[in-house]
Amino acid sequence: MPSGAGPAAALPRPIEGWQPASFLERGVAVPFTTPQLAGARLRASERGGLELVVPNISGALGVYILPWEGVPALCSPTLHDRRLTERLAAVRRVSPAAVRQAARDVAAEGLAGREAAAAAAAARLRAEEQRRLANYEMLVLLVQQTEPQEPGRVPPEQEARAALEQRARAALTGLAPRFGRSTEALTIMLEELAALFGPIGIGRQAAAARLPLAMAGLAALADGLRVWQEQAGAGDGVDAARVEAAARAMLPLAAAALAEAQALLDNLPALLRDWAADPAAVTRRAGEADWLLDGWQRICLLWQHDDERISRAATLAEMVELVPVLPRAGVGDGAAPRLCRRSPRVEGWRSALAFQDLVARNEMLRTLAPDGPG
Amino acid sequence: MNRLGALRRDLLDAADGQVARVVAMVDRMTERGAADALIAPLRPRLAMLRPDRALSLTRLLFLPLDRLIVPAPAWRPGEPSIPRSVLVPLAAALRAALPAQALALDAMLDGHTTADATVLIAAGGLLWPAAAALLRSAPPPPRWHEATGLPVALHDPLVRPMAALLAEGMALHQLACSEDAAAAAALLRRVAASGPAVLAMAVALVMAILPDAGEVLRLAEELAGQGGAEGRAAVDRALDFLIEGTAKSSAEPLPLALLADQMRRATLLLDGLAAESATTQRPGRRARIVAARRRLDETCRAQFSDAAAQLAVAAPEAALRDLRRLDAVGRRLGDAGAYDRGLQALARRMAGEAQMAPVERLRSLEILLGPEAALAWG
Repeated sequence: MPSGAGPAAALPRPIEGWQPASFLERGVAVPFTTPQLAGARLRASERGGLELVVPNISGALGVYILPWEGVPALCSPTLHDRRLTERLAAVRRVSPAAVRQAARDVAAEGLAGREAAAAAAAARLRAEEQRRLANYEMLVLLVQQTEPQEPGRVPPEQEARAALEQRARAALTGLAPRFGRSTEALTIMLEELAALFGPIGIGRQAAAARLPLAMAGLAALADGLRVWQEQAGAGDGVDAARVEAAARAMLPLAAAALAEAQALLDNLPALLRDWAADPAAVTRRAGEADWLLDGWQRICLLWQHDDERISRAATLAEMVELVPVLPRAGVGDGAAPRLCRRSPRVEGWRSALAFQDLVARNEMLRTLAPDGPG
Repeated sequence: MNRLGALRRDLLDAADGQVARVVAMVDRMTERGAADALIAPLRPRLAMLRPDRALSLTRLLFLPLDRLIVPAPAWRPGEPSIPRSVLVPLAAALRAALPAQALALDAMLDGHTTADATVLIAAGGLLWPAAAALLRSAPPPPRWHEATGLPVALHDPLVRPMAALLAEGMALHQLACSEDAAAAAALLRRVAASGPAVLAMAVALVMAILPDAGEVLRLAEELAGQGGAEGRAAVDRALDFLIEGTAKSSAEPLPLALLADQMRRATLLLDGLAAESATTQRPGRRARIVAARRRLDETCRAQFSDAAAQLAVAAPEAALRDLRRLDAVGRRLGDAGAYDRGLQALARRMAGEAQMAPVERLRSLEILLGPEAALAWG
């Protein structure tokens, strides 16, 4: 019999009051299309392999923590989610960027539908263009920060590409002896840093980078929720107020993390030196905003995508469930509120959306993501 | 068939987007005349589709009562519904009584649609209380009988309850947006004191918005009990009207997706009423519910079988999902075997189709039968 529900096998007991100690323990949001896996996060298991942290599907407080093999006790995952999990099992280190990449690749295969495949292909092209721009902006920054001021010299941002590359190469050649590395090695390192900092925003392209755009999206969400609360009658704005409060609490945290990451670009020679010494440490510092904002994109997209078959109240109830729990460490004495789950998920034949409609809606949300279905 | 008739037939088969465009075009006409007749057969579909409509004073005025409006020939005196023929005369009466306010509202609404929530709420906040105050005591508009086809004696019994509900216009509009059962219950409690006819309309309206709100239904029964014989009769009229409406809804020509949603809502309503009638010892109503449910079941199975048989092997995914929507409702109404057989027959056709790309076949089978079956069949 066709069904969206999985067999009633043994589920582990939900863990109530779960608050991870770190972002790694919280795991990374995965854009699963199976409705019961909405809000699920993937993390490395202490016993090896990967495990999922899945919100309690009853809508009550708590999460299930289970290996992928245990998911059939919860639901029957879509073919897309099975393929995505296979792909993620091969990822060396689970991070938001790694999940995005894997999700985009799997979407391109077509198991999330034609539109998602097309969006993935378009996102790949955009990512390539953004990488090229990030490289260029990195060269501009390097020249700006290392060349002596000389009157009459063409500013690097106005320089032709070939000439800019030449000047950057000269700058790296000047730095090479100090780092004990060759110019070629430094060139590669600069490209690696461009890839790492591209989503954070480099130079003149900063505002259009992925994370600043995600921040703007989050701010727009908070503002939209405020307007909704003003228009909704008494009692209808509770969920909106919860999500808005969480979004507003997140904004300064993410802004600070983003500003700190962008500040690393103010001294590129020092950043190159740090990268040469300990790339993992630089990755951690640069990636904090990405981890903080991880999981919010789906919430923003749910709000933006007005499905006439789902009332705003039901959408808000779903959004409340998805608000990422903040880990204890790294967010300043629990500055952001933790939310309680309240509403059961929008599912089942009673809802305006059948199971397959929810899958389709989830696939469609992924095509709307500005950086592709990842 | 004349040209208008042919156009009407074409429109019944048109895609949702085309329907929305035609309706928007008609909405922009200052004199609608025959164009109104053109879109008349689409009204059941429009009620389900709820496309953005151009905001006019008449549309805004009756927006909170929209779900009670029925075609004039289908209306019966005493029924908690509103015949469409009274809308224009009542709006004209309002315009004549409050010309300055009407002009100001025209200016506010000009160029806006029902999607413009801020304008709708601001203008509705002005219009609905003013209309409620006027219609509470205004005499029938001039030429009432000619314009509406209704005797003058029916004006007050029909329009006074409408006025009472328009006084709750903002709450009704918010309820339609939020579908919040607590807000619905609060509204019913407020209007119950306005009399049985108002209660009947309010119950019909609220249950049309929230067909599965058992607590609202229980409250309606409670309020009926408090209202004596008249209150009891009023709520019975409202619930019978809703039961009868489920039969009408399944007979309307609708695209599969809308039909499935219509039947889902009808099933929710009937199931809620059945549960309530079991506790309130109402065998007559229970029999009507069983009959209405049987009609829905038969319609659902027939529509499903037709649709499954007619689907092309390489049908768009949206068409397969529409079929599954109907399947989900149908299984609740009756024998699941018919749906299993229909889906499996379609899956067999797909599995044997060499022209389909493997990923397309997998996805189609997944939509029809679920992921495990797709892997087994694909």
